[in-house]
Amino acid sequence: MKSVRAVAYITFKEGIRDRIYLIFFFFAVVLLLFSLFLGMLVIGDPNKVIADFGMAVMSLFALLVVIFVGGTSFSRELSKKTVILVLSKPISREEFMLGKILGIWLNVILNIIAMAFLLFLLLLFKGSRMWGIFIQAFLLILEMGILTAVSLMFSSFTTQFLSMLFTFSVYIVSHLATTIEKASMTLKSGLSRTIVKAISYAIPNFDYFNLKNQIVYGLKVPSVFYYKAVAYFFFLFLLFSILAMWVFKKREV
Amino acid sequence: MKAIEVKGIFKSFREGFLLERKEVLHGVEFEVRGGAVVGLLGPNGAGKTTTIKIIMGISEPDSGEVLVSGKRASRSTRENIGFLPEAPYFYDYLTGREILTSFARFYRMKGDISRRVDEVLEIVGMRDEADRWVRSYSKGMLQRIGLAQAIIHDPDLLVLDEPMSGLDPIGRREFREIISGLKKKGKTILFSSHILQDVEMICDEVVMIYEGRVIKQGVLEDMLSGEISHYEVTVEGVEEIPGFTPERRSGKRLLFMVEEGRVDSIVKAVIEAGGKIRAVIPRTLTLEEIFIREVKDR
Repeated sequence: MKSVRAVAYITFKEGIRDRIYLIFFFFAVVLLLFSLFLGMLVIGDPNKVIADFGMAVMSLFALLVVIFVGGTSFSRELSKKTVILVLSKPISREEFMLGKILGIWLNVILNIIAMAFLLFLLLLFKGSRMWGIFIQAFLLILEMGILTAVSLMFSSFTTQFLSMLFTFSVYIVSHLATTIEKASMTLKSGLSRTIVKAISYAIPNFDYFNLKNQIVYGLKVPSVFYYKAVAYFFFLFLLFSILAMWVFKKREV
Repeated sequence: MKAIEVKGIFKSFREGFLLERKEVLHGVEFEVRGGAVVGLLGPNGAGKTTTIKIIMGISEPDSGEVLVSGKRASRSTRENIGFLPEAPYFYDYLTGREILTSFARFYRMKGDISRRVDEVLEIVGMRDEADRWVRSYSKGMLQRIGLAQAIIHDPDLLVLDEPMSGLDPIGRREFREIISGLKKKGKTILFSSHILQDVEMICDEVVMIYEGRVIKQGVLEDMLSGEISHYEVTVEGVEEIPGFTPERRSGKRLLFMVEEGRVDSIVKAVIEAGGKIRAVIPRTLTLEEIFIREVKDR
């Protein structure tokens, strides 16, 4: 575990000092502040608009960090050959890959926590104590953990650009899983319905990590939802991490 | 005791659109004895880096095996090896000190890590630059930090891949001095290079590798003193000697380079022409000449 920690530390430190990470963070802060202005423009409860827009900003920038920091970090290791330097130490490829995943995920976690705090403070400033922001931030952290493992899995066998593209595609498709499942119900033919349904189950379903509406409208969420989300996270995180390690073990560096 | 035993390793890579196999190592075999400084020589593309990667356990051979201190190259054998890759590059946004501290954590190092970091920074002459981001380092500085991370855990065996390529003459000399210092401490060093002059100055033994095969290996001193390539004959008092072309004229003196079989003839010709022999000096082959001859023979 010491080696995993060392790789995660290097990756995390390198990530937070990277210009692209700081630029994303700056724009995220600007957009969160913009939500105050947006709240003044709409009819109805401005706090709901601020919370809704703010959580969307959190998701967007967490996604950008995973795609860009995750997509570039591993390919940079390969192109600059720093991977050879690290693998010459007493560390296995599996430990290296796990360290990379955890390091990048830590970058994303820091980004999400900072944005959640800022959003919470903005809402507090407007007179609303919306603790649910932190629940959504926690779920977003789980979702981005899976996506980080997906990004590293792609990075371990394809180019930087393709890895970013594939990761983004997985994100989009994973948010459509419930819609695809519902669409299968409308199909008449038994076979096509089964196929579409099977597809909806085969792709990751990120709706397990989405409570934005419930939080904004103050709806009650049964605790089983959280258990399911955490269990689903562990399953997919382990699956994609193991795949990433396996692919990396097979490749020449 | 043998520090490294490379036993008949074959290695191929898949290349191109059709992923055709290209064999790059064809049964490479050599040994490095403990305490020796061994130069792995060869032109670019000879298979030096692939061999080194296999020794380090970073790459797997198709067949054959590598033993490090009698054990199969693996994660555990890497505990006692310091490795400097060719043209090392580090993490842009980390300082030299952060890199050394992080890399030290990969080893089960006991004691004060920060003190050891300061020690190796001192050895490689990077103490004043240690807190700058690596992205601002020159090539020479990267090479020094590369060496520092290789010796951070005080290993008995060092594997250095082209450690002096790209360095200026002063940098090369300083690097040679550092390596000589490590040699005095009894470290075993395997050192790949295509700069034969450096190898000649540092190494005890050499292994020549060409197109994925070991073409010659042995003790450097034996190789260099073993064969006479030609004789330098300096004569005076003659303008020319029929059948021989002077290499250089310097005042009244003429310098001829002749093969061993023609030394008697030139001496006889000079005396007959009324000239005087000033010197007959045997010249041995340089490492470069030996290497080129071996390559030409293939």
